[in-house]
Amino acid sequence: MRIHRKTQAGTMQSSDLIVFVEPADTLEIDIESTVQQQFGHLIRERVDLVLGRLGLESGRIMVSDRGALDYAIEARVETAVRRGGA
Amino acid sequence: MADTGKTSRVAKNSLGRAIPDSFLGRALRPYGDPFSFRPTGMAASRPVRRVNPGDNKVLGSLREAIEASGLRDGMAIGTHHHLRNGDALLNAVVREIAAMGIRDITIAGSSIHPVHEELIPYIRDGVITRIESGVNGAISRMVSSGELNVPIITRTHGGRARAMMTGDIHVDVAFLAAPTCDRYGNICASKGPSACGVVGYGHSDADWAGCVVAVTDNLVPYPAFPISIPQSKVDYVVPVDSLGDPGKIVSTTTRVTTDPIGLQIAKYAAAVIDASGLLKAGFSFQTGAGGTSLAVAANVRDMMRTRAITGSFGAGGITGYFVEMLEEGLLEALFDVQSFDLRAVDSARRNEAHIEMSADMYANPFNAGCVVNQLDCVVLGAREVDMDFNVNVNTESDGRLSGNTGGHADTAAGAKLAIVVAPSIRARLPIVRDAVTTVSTPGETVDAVVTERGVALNGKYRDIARDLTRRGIPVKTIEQLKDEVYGITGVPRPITFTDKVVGLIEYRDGSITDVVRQVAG
Amino acid sequence: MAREKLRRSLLYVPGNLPALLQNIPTFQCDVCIIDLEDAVPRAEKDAARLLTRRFLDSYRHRNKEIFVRINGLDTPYFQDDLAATLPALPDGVRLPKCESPELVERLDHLLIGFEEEIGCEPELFKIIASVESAQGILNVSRTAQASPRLTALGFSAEDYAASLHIDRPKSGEHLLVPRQLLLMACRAVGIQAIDTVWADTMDMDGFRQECELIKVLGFDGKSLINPRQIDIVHEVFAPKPAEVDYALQVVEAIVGAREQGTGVVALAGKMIDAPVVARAVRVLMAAKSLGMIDTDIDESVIHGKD
Repeated sequence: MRIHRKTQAGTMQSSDLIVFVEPADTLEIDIESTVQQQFGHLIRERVDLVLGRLGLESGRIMVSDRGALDYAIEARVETAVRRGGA
Repeated sequence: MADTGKTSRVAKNSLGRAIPDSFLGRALRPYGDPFSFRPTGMAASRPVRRVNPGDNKVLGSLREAIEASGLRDGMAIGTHHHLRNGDALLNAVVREIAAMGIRDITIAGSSIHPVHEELIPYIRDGVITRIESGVNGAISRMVSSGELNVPIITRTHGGRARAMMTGDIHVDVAFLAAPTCDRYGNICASKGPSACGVVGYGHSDADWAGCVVAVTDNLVPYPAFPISIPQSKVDYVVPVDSLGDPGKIVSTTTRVTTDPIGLQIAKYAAAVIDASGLLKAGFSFQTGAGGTSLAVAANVRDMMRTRAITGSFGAGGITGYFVEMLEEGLLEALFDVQSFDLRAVDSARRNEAHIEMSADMYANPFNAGCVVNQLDCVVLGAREVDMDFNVNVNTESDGRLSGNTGGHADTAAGAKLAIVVAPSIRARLPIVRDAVTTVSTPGETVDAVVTERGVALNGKYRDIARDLTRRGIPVKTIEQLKDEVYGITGVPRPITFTDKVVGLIEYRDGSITDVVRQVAG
Repeated sequence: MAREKLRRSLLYVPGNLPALLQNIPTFQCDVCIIDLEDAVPRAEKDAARLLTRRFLDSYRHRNKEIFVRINGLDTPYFQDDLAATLPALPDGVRLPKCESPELVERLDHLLIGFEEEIGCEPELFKIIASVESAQGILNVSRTAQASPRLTALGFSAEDYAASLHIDRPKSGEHLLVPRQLLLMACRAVGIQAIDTVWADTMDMDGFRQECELIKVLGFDGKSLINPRQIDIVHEVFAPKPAEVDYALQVVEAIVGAREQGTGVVALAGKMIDAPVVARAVRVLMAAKSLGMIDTDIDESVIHGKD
């Protein structure tokens, strides 16, 4: 699976996140979060897990998180990748 | 420049927090317990003065007042924060001080707000070099991150009154915003375009400051009344065009929350109050002004109406909800240290049962008895709560200083039943956690923590668990609440700090519950 | 005999907003219905499916029933709704726009297929079907019999009124006949009847009055759109103390009879048959949830092991 088009999923609301995806040659992941200090490591873990499960080989994934829980991170990342990838 | 305490020795207080033995050249006493420390000695004093018939107190400008007051480098100024985020006075005073070339001033007001971020350049320039006040907003966050270098000492409302009375802090010149004032300095807080109802926090300055300047945008013919602060305590009067933005001084209305989580918390909290057995004739209580606290007040009011209970008093920062209860006859009196909305301002003016109280009367532990000692119940908010029931209201979960203790620690100590209400999680951040980032209020004064997931009871109130369970209210240990929360959010990484102490959290008796260190990285 | 769940309060929660989904465990309603239909704009249906699925995956220990309101069988979405959410094992599906028994049959067949694919027990997923039009009301007695999975019928007054080309006065006289027909159809088959949502969340007095009306009519519960409505429904549907006492007696008699090995049970000269027992259990569950009684209701003791 690769990202073919630029798209996004999610909202700016508290407890949610926006995931932006766009095509790229390699797999690049950028995460910023309102709870970076406390949970940055867990957010990264969860994003890696989902991308691994989806078998994403390339694309730029940018996550802007506002304190979303793991299930929401999973869901939003998968939604964005499915919208933008093939 | 001031000593930041880096080279002091450090010892743990009874809460397990590391406290240096001195800060800014002053010896620090670590917190022990809420009630045992006995003060010794006499109260502070100030010069006796004389004003003769024919002497004029009215000056033409802030500059003239500053000159007349004798303010010099290294001194301390005091203000009250009744104009909240609509205040224009503190900024104007500092601007003038700077223009006159005076430097190294301590701000020792009762609180400063985001509107005072104008002061940041003056702090950088060395006009202001110390803040002994509660601080809300960017200044405190910048101090925590090291972007701004000015030490902060935060006291409770009662603690400030005590500190001024004992002389722990001496305010050389107090600039008191006076919504209505006459030429001899009688200050009336409940009338005028900038009316704020009462000036509870200004009384300490009037009693103990070296020089007291009333600043007013509503100079009226003598005598002004009703009198909050009398002429005999006021040295000068300065008329100005405006004290600030009335729209930001008080809210038009304060509202009960509509958030289902807040309403569930309020329902549980009301049940705790009911199960405690305190809700009977003569009941007294206090709540914060936040949406959830007001929802608790509304629930209590409904119970009192249904059972025809007349309470003795409501206290604290007063909102329209309490005014309604007073006017309905559910309460005999209100003790008001700060009016939060227009209804409260109006009631303060009209109703003799709406009583202005000074911060000293409200919460100073070192006088002949303060109002918080008479409280049956107080409902308080929290940023964080820990396994010892300690509460943090001073720092955010990212470690940065951002709030004033206010009356939190005072009321928790005084009230028979102190209930802390908070959602269990805020945007993934656990409110209930292993250890609070900063201890504002010691857990031994907190009786119950109420979240939407259930209630945790401390100490003597554990007996009401059965009653609560029967009402369908989940009762859990504080550890169970935390485990539940961490199970949902994941376990947060602790924030790392440097050794540099940037702020002190002083308990109401002058001991130190915690320090705030600069955030690392 | 059907061990019927307490379904006084059925709260709709939009499936596309994490802040609301994750509060589901803290709400005190009997049922939450996660909505993939009207609450979710077309462009977000894919997102809502995944959010719902992942949320339910993380919500293993459930303290209430969870139904998923899928999009209607006349839309291109329902298949994906089912495929995405059923693996997380909700208690069932709320089917909108259920105007004929054929729609319930179709859904029943789809659910059989999914149960096989997932590998869970047959007839695990229940159906609550919403009747939303004049035609639907006219067909209601056949619809109520259309599947053993059908555990309740819901009435949706908003769309029903639109199908009649009328406004919706709060007084509700235009709803008396459809409500009664739906109730009769449910009772004839022995399934539950759930009333329509009350849209004006600021008018709590009007809401309470409607709850009192539908209780008198015989409804089992009400669909809700705001958590603030939950407590009022539970208060209105609270059993009277006399009802609770009688229910306790019924249970005592049944348990006593089982211990003595007698089959037929009588209480004060009246026969206690299975429907009476079922009703007594529901009364006690409601009473327990309101703090009216302390004792736990052990259904296996009451119904016996079968």
